[in-house]
Amino acid sequence: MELIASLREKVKTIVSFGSCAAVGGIMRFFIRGGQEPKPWQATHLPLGQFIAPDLSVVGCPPSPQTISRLISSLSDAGKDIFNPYKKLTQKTRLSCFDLLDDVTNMQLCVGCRICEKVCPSLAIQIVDKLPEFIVERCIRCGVCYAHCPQLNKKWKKEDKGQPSLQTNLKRAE
Amino acid sequence: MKISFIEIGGCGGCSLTFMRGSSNLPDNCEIVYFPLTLDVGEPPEETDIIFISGSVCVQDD
Repeated sequence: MELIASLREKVKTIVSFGSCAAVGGIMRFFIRGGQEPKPWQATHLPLGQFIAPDLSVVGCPPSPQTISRLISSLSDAGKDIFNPYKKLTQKTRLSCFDLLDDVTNMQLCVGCRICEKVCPSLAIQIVDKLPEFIVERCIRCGVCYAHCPQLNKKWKKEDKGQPSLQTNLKRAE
Repeated sequence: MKISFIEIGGCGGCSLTFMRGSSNLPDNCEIVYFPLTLDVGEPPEETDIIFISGSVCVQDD
């Protein structure tokens, strides 16, 4: 861990890659219903609890398309591309309950079915234009949360006017 | 641009997808794979972006 912490000072961009590094993922699989982990489950922690990553890419595993798109957007320093993964660095845990709290209960859901399509464990079903969660299947990867277009729209509005990661990288150079 | 991939744990699925995803990257990208789990020495210091996969195990034994 000291090794990684020392790299934080030297490297411009650190990416927590995959749900394990970003939010604990399947290593915290047995924590049900957004509860605090029991002592024997709290042995695997997300990277964000030790160092501050610049991006958190969730997915179990993230798709190859996500990787190539992310690297091309980071290498294109002249372009200001909005990056939703920046927002996820503030999260230390993610599950279907977060989607329920932040989207469905806030009446933001439009029934677009994207969460249903991206869920790797088929834990989401759209019933009457609203997501229903099969909690036992949720592997707490946070993919549904990261891909929700309504949340992305909200984050984009919040980030308007703030410098993007590409701009910060360019300034650092 | 130098990119490093450090694996500190997990099932290995992230490393496999990273390899697949990084096969068609721009020519100016150089990738170093560094599995910390195999104890292969010091990680590369001169790098622009580091991808870290796997959660941090805080239990010693």
